[in-house]
Amino acid sequence: MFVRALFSLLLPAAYAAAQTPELEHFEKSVRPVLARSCQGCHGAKLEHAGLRLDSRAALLKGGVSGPAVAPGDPQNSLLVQAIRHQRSKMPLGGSPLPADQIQAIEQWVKNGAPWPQEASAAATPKSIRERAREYWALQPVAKPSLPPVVRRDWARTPVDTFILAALEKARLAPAPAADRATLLRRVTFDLTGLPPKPEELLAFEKDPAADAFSKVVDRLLRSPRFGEHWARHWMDLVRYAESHGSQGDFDLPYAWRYRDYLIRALNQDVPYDQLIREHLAGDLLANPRRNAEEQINESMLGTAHLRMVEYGYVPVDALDDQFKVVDNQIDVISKAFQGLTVSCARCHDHKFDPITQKDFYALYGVLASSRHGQVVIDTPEHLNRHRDELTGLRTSLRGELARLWRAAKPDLSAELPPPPPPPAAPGKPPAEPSKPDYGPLQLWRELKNTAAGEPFRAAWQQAVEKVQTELAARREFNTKGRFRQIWNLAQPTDYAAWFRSGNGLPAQPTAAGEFAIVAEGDRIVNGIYPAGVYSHLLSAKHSGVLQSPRFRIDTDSISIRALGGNLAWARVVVENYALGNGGIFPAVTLGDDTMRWLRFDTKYRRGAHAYIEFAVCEDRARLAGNGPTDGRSHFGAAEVVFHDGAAPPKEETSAVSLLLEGPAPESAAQLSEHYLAALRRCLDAWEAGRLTPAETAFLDFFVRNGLLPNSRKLLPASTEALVSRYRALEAEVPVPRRAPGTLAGTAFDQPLFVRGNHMQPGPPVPRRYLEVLGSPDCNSPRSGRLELAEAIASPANPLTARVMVNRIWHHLFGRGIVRTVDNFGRNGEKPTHPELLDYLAARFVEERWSIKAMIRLLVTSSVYQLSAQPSAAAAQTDSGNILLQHARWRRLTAESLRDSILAVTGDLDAKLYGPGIDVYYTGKTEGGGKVGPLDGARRRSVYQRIKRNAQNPLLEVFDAPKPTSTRGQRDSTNVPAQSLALLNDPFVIEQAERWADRVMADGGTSVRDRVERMFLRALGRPATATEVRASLSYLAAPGRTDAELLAQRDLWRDFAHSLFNLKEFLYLR
Amino acid sequence: MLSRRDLLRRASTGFGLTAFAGLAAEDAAKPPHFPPKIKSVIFCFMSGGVSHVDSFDPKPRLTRDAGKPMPMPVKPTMFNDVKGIMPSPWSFKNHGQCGMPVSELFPHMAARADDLCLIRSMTSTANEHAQGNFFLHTGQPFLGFPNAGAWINYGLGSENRNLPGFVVLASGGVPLGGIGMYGSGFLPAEHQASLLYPEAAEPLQNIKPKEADREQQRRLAFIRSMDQQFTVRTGADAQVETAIRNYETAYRMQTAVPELMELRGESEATRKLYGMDSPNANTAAYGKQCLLARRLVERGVRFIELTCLMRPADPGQSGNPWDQHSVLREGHTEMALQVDQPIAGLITDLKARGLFEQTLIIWAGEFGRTPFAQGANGRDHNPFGFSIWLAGGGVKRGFIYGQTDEFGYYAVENSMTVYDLWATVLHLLGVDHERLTYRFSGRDYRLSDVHGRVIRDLLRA
Repeated sequence: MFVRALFSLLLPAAYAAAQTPELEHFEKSVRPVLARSCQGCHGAKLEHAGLRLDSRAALLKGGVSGPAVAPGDPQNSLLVQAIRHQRSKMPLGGSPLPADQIQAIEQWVKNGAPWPQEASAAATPKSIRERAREYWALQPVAKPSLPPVVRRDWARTPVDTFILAALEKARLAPAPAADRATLLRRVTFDLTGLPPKPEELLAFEKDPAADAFSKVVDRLLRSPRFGEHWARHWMDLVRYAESHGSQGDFDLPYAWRYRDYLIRALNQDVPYDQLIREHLAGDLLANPRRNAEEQINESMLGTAHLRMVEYGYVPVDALDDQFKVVDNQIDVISKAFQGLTVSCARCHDHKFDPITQKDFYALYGVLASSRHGQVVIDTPEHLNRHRDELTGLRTSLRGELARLWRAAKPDLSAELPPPPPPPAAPGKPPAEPSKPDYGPLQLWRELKNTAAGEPFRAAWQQAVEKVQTELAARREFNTKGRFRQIWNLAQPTDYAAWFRSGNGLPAQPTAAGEFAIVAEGDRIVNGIYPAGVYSHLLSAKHSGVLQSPRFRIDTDSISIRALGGNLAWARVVVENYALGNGGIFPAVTLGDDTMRWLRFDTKYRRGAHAYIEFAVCEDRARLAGNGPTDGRSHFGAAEVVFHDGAAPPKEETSAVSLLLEGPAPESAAQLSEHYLAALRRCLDAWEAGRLTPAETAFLDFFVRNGLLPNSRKLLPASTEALVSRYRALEAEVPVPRRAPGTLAGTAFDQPLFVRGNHMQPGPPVPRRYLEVLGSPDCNSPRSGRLELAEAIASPANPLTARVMVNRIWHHLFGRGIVRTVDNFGRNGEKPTHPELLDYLAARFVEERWSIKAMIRLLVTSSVYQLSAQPSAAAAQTDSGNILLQHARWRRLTAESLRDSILAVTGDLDAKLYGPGIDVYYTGKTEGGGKVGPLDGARRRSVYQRIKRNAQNPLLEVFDAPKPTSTRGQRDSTNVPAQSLALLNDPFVIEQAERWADRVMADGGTSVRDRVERMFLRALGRPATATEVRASLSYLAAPGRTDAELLAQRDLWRDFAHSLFNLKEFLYLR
Repeated sequence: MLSRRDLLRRASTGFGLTAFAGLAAEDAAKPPHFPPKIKSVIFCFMSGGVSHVDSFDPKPRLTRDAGKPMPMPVKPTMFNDVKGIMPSPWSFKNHGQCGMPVSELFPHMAARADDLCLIRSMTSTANEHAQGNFFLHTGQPFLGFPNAGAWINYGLGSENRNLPGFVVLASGGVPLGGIGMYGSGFLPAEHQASLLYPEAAEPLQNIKPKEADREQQRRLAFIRSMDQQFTVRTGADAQVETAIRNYETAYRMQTAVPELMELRGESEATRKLYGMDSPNANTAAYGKQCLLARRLVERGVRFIELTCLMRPADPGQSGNPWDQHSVLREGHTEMALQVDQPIAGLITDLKARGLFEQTLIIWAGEFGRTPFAQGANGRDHNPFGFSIWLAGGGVKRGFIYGQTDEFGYYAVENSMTVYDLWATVLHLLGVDHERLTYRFSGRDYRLSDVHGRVIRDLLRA
């Protein structure tokens, strides 16, 4: 458009300069063609393939393939060869130039390629905004008025008017309407991905109402099969996968919940702008969408696609891996929702589109400021079942226990069992059982038999010195070790600086003295915890992820004080790499319920950005191999210190220090009193809520070891009832449902990587969306995803609605109005019907972004209902059927093919939702993996599991996309491997057998009758007389009666198998 | 000019074999950019990473400085378990007229030293297996990009319409990263590898008819007659006609594949040459892959990749059997025993049959191994400098290119990239790597990405 405008400005001057007939020919017939059809890519703005076609010198110089013209010799001029499609087929991607233009250029080359003298237009670089104004896809959408048409009886919808206008301009008349059977098959596949049932055909054919088709469309749009089919289209856009690929191919836990979310959303016709908001910021919405039936927050599920990335396996260079991951996220978001290839700008400004390298890094910051993790999708009401009552019971129980413990007389001489050994590592012998830990009672055991008086005094003195020496040594170690305490999570301010998610984590840190009630068995509580943060004080089923702010690792070690159980973990997450679980990605499993210091070796990662994470098992981004089955897991966290030494700090708190206070005991009896007094002080402090660390440790020891009553058997009935009630309620607390998602983190601006080299960071780029769209600010402290979502979901965004209606069009008509559905940039194709595209985009927004309304509008149009038979004129002048004179032929997608086999044989299980079905593999796969049933549990293909490294071989043969990036337009290859699959694949044969069994049980009174029924079922139309005849002769065997043939299973299996192999089965028309 | 569609419309016999016998050529070989030196590539992929300092790149300093720390900066390693310099457990001797040093790990290959074009300065950008595998095979470190074999088939087409043009012989394990590595990425799926399982009852997925030939023919005839009525009735589109045609090819493939796998016609001497009589089952199986590779070359297949079999001692490493992070001596000995004689036999046999000149063998792993120890007796990954070799048409023989530093850690002379390797291979096939492009996602992609140069020093004049 712009090129033409520029040209018209130059035209008069150029004409004036034309002096010879040759030059006149150039100005009149050649320069306009070059300007209109060539210089867009080979001119001042772009020099594709190093070639410019805007001066004679440039043509003679040529590009990478050599000079573009040989003056006087058209046959040997690359330009001529290209426009004649003898070599690189120019103009690229479009239809060839009209014959007269080709001849004009040939003549001009023959003339010696004359070009008037002119100053080369020294083009100054244009600003991004200027370039945007020039490009069609970046113009605001304006609803065009309907074009005038001659024929008045054809158009049913405005869509038809636009199509008809273009046809009339080309002097073509639309094909007649398709017959009802063809139409029903077409629309049933397009809307549900399945064939129509025979009874549906009968009903439609018998329905005389004018709106018969409209009723069919409504029925299909209401069918739950609609969401399944269109969810699969959407899954292509977000490279849906349930594993992360690369070595290990680790599972993305609960990815299937996102697939179910798509199905529900499409069936409910959730507006498209809302889906975009949910996809980019579903976790941040002020008013998320609730699903009352499932009791979930639907909006939370939208961001799962951000997790569907491929990760490296234990990448040595973690930043490089993050770069790849974020690049892929940007690639998917920009293609899927905007039809832009922003990822092309990671190394340099986009070569073709007005997208800068800064744009890329502005988005990088938005995405990398969110962290990869599991989110809980339950509604709070569901999640916090019994919370208040449990809290009340806990308070009552605490009072009861205090009373009970005050009255108790602990046996200081009790023998304690050794602590259970840690679980053995695979292939390693189990650890030796360690000795019992007598903690503060060690002193008692040493002194209890010492004679009173002087011997006791001396022994006491000695023991006290030993304890004090040890404590002094620890304090000295801790001083010398230069431990920098960075966070004390028992402090509200430090805790508030961390990012937490999950209903197990409190709003404020917990003071010393808290406890968790054991879920089953005789023990009541595990112990008494020091101050800190705990995920499980009401129930270990509650979820919890606690993450530090982002920091740069500047020490060789980081130590944490933490506890946990059931495969909870703590780790240092380096450069957002979500799968780290040890080795060069420091991580520990928290398997000990007592607070201890644990050290991470961070030397390898010095200089990298990181955050610390605590998470319960099910909240881990990478699940443990065999997690707990009841969903219980917990952690507690207290301190984080940075240091360089190879040992963590030593425990400075000692329970025994309580005994050193007050007058020295002079006998074992006095020491015993000492213990009891200390215990009373602890209980006083506990009830008053002011336990010191030493008191906590002291009390914990007595409780944990059963020296204070901690057994249901020892409880009075009234107290026991509290425990029973507590446990009964806790058992009803739901295990939170998790899904892949994003977690809040420190928002930061990403430094631009110079020439795309992550080792060369440049200045940080403030977070925002594309400059060409007005640089919408995304600098919120919460990553900026919400602002990004609003910028994309805005009706003012020129691309969003255009791209989506074009995708819908593509799926219904087999080719987009813009054929390159994922690329609306200059390297994509131009719209064949630009005004229609704008009309649809405007209407889409007007109708509140309703996908179903748009589909309804399109399929009820006359153009959708055309027959696939071209007129002779159309076959001549529009062989590519760009103008849609008739319907386009389309091959079934891989999923539709498999699903329609299941549907036709009657094997299809209509169950909706749920975990993916393991895939049946015939060949080898990396790492093997589980092998599923041959029939895929008779479920639709959308429910088959998608492992990146082991994809479904049958679906792959028919071009199911690899889950790597946005794939809005699938390949439709046509190869012998597909014939072999339909002939020999065990699934196809098994299905033929099952169909045979079904027709033998219930179908057909004669061979002819059965043949007719099977045809109707397979092809959605009655068999023709010739087909019946041919089938009967195929099935006949000399000397066999009809009854004998009807009972011959292999015959019907083969016939069923033949029907699957008909091209009519595979193609839609 | 008549389109294929028009031709088909005019074919009075409908859609039987005769109708498209004359059209088969259309999808077959495409012309190269310039006269090729070779027709086929056999890629002996040493999955897991062979130690170059123990095979083709002798480093006496490893012995001299045994146990000492590396005197140069050590890059981060996968297992972060860097120990002292580790001498090679194998000794080196010069071989052939060229005097190429090869360690005693590979006695048979050493005997073919005069046929090898050794590159001692190969590099990779990936330090992990899956990424290294993807990078070596596709030029990008992850799923979604076409394998070199797919590019070559896309660029040159197949010379044999009844066999796939890109074959992976899958006796061994699937390399880490999965079979997507053999895929066609964004290129049309017809260019992806077909996995042939030499040991399986059904050597190619769905190639084995489930019924007798006569019955299948009868059914195919029925399907064809139905399809024919359908196309006549509906004026079917060209793609439907192609789909009909594919059944003929598929039918022929059902014969061509078993014929390829049938080794009864091969002499006892040939089998011995490939080590197929070896008491070591892995040697015999790898030998069978090498022999099948020759048969595939004979049938005009463009690109054949062989897979290493896992070591029985270490089934956990079926995808990366050369990956000796520990017990290097035992592991490498066992792996060398598997591949050494078969690959040397393949060279000998190709030469004897006059096929060596039209074939290129590539012998390479995804990276080499560190000159320093990992733990007690292993070596970690080293992508900074390692050895691969080429042998066959168009490349020099008995020739050594590039070198690493005196410890074998970094390439220091004529450092070569994966892009250079494929640019050079394409060149030998008559293809200009800068002109072999495919537009995807708004960009023209190349196997050599935006890099790569033909390493002319490797080429024979």
